[in-house]
Amino acid sequence: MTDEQKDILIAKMLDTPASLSDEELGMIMHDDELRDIYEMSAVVSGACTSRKEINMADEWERFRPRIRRKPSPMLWIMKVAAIFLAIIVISGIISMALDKILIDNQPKLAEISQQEVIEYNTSEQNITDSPSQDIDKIQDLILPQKNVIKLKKHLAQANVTEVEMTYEPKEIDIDEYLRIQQARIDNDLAMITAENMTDEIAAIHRVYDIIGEDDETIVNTIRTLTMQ
Amino acid sequence: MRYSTTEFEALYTRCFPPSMRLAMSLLHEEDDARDVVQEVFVKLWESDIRIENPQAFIIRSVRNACINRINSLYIREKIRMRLTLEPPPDDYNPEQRDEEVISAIKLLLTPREQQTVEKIYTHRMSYKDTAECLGVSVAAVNKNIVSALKKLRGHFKTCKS
Repeated sequence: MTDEQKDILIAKMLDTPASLSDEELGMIMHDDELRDIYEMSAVVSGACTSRKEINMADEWERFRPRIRRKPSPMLWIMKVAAIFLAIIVISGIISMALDKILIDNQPKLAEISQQEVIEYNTSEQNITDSPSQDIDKIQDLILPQKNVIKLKKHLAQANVTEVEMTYEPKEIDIDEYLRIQQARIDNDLAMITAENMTDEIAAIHRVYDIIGEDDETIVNTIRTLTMQ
Repeated sequence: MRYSTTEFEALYTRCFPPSMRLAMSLLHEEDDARDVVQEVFVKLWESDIRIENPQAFIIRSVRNACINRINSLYIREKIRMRLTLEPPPDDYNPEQRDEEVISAIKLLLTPREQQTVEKIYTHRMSYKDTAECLGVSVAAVNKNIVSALKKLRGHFKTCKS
């Protein structure tokens, strides 16, 4: 191989190694001079490329993601167990708290309802007592026996209604409570009306007793007034 | 016993530069060299053991990994990458060797030859680009390179003998 051929082969070997044929590669491998030049070229190439500056901060940042420790299976099992335990404990606490809230509120509601009913019954008792006492007073003072009997019948009917409206202390809902209140108001009005009527009748009796009219006249007068 | 991340960072900072220089000296490609070096450090991290002399262990591991990688290549690929065809000696010290080569380039080569070597080996330019850059012919570039390599080869042969 001439020097000129060697120079061409060296040029291809260093500049465009991809263009080397298998035969040329074989020639390089079997020629000591070419092989030595190639080895020298490799050494120079290594010496020139290895002199690059290294930025350690960048290199560490680039490397750090590769050294994340794999979690051990035992640690993973413990984590899962801890999550389950936490869920159970939290649900238990929530359940207990809800129970406590409901238990605390239930007696209060029952107590309020009961108190309302007791108050209502007490006031009903006062109302139902008062007409009887009034009638007795009227009877004692002014009314003739016949009229008193009629009034007592009328009040007896009222008393039946009042007895029916008497409630035992129990839990009631709002509708029932409103009905009771309405009945209470109606009863009050009825009692006031009855009182007024009683007063008027008593007044008429007094007047007619003084002027000496008979019972029939008194009844007609009362009927006229009642119609008005 | 495991290294903590802080300890491993200190070890990496201390051992990476010489390992990287060795890998670059053998593989000539920065990405390949970094890949080999990082692979060695990852293995050390995952082994969960402490080495008595970690720097020597890492350098040795990097050297072996580079040789294995070179050996796995075909000759054509080695020539394309300008890789050495013969494995480096056991006492191969890349830093010392590189220093010797750089000193010899400065000492033995003419300024034009030095420029040509720099363009082709440091900047990895082709003959054509080097010729354009230096304002000479492609044949002159080849002549300068061949002359430079022969001078260096003669020098190192004399040193070895």
